[in-house]
Amino acid sequence: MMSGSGNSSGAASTAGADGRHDDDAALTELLSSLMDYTPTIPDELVEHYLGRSGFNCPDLRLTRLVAVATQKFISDIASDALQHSKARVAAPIKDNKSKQPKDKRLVLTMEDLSKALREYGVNLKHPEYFADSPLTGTDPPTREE
Amino acid sequence: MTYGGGDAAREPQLDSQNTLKPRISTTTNQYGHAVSRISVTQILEATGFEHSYRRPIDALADVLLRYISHVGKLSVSYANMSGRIQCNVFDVILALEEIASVHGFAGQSDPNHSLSSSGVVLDLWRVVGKEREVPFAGSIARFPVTRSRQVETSQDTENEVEWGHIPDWLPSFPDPSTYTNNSVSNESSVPRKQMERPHFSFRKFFSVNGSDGLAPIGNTNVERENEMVQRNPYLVPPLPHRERQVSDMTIPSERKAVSVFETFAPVIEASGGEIVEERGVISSKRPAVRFRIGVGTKSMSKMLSLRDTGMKEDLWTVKEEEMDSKKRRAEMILKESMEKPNELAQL
Repeated sequence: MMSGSGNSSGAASTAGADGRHDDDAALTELLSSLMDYTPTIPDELVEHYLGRSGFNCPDLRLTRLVAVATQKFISDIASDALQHSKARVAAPIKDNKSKQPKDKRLVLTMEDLSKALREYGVNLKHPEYFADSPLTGTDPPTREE
Repeated sequence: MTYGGGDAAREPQLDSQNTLKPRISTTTNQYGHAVSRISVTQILEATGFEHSYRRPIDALADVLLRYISHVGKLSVSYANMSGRIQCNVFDVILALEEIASVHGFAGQSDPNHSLSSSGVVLDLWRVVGKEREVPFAGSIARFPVTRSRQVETSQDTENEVEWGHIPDWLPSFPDPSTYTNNSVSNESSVPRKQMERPHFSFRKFFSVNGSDGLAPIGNTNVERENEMVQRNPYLVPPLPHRERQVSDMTIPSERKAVSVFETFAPVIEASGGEIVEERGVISSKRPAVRFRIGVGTKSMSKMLSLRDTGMKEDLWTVKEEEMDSKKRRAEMILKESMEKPNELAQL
């Protein structure tokens, strides 16, 4: 994008102009196509939660932009979890029990999700067991709030 | 996509000692959480999942809502740092870049990279342009829904004028005819009774029963001025002579004085005969003086002024006469007894 500043002024200006044009083209096209694309997350939901954070913008395209970004974020997490789930299915079984072959169902479990979320900085741990009282055990289970 | 309920730990175990409250959704954002759960389910289905447990979907729905709030908060902070209160597209891009900086995006290392063509924008452009569009299942109304309140007006809004600078929640102005000296509006629009309601009506208080001799009020300047000044009786200008017909006052002085003297006649005669002459002199020469001793200066001043102007008819004095005639008689007796202490001693 940023052309070398050591070029001649003419080349730099033209390159700069082209660069700027290219720079803006992606954003302009994205914003123009946002009105045609309906994100999976409804606009009302995004507007409500953006408003609760203080986000004030009457432009609907920005709301759609945030909705698309959120959808991409969740789909990335889901695809990571899917890869974890597929890896689990494809892993050879260590136990020698006579078992039916692994079902090819792809089920989202908390384990896969927590592994996928850990890469994005979200700590989601599911306790393996429940004790009788919260005081049982040395460390309280860390859980995503 | 089947919605498995095999996760028994989803339901909080409510005990008496340890009350596990559902921490994912509170009563305030249960609706938003339910809507986001539908969106998450659709996204998972588009990704390729066929089945899922309930708890991961709840967790992802919560993550979705937190992500939206996080992006909003970051965008607002970037806008505020630039001195704006409305967010820009570049504020949103900066917020997205900050969130994606944990994972990394293309062009992140270049500090001078253009925002319009950052890796974040390109990623989104890829999503919009190429991926299959999955719209939200169903349509939801705009929320939160606020109940439209009925604006209560303190007074009737017949003469409501739309003022641009006065907010609606303030009480409306009173009727203009109540505070304007407009002769036309004085009689026609607003009845006199309504006008006088907020103020103590001296006229009614001091009016004589039945025929009080009040002349019908016409639209003259004097009458209007009198009406306006009626609120303060001390400021009422003296009426010209014979303008208002009032009943003649009964002057009880001669009769009462005679009866008093007649009562004390034997006592006076017993003391001496000179007083008898005085009595006669007194009875004939004494004018109709009406003093109210010890009551207040109001009626006294009024009496004196009336005496000077020669006007003996007045509404208030008529009323006062009738109300306090007995009192005055008693006071006169007292006064005379004070003037002539000799007779008192003999009594």
